[in-house]
Amino acid sequence: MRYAQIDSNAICIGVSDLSGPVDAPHMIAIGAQEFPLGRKRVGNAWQDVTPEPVDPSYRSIDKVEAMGLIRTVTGMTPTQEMAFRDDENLALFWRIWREDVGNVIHRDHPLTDQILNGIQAAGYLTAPQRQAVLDNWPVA
Amino acid sequence: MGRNVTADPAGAVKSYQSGQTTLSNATSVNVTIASVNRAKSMVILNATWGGTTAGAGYSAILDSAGQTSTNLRISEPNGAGSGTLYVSWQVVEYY
Repeated sequence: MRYAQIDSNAICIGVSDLSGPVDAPHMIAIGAQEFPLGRKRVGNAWQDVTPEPVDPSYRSIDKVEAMGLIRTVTGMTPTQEMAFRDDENLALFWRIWREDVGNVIHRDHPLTDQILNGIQAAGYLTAPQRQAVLDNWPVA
Repeated sequence: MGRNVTADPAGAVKSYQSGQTTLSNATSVNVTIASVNRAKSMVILNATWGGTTAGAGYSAILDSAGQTSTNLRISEPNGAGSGTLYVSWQVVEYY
């Protein structure tokens, strides 16, 4: 039995082949050839979802500017920055930062939120500093 | 394709379920599945990030207060989120 699982916004967040029937409003029975992941359930149909536009009042910055913004907000000393960059708990974070994160960073992109969450979780950014990064983001 | 297996010798596969999901704006997702006995089930998880197998730390847990579970909670480690994580999962239940 194949199902599409939808979230509270009716967006399909998963497609599952289950071993038995499931009776729940967020589980939509679908055909074997259907794969509506990321689409929105409207009535009995699936519609494509258009991503929300990024706030145009803030401009994109690159990695150098992003690091500068973090230094400014945190007042991080060179020694603290070395610790930040060498922290083994952030090895995966830094690898992703180097290899996966592009050099154009948008303030309101989910990636930015997750990057800040990661730095905060590691203890190099407090909640007020995290907000300050967003508040001091360069405008267009 | 999810299915039930009719034979029931000890250790044989009783049921098999699989699916795909994504994590983009959250650090975990709850996937609804058909009921399984947690103590006799195995979960297989494969997470991919931008075309590359994601690193360690991702987990999939059959959530339940009791013996059976109808919820597979898939989580990513703190701070690892960046972009969309594509997850393929399988749950194998044994007799």
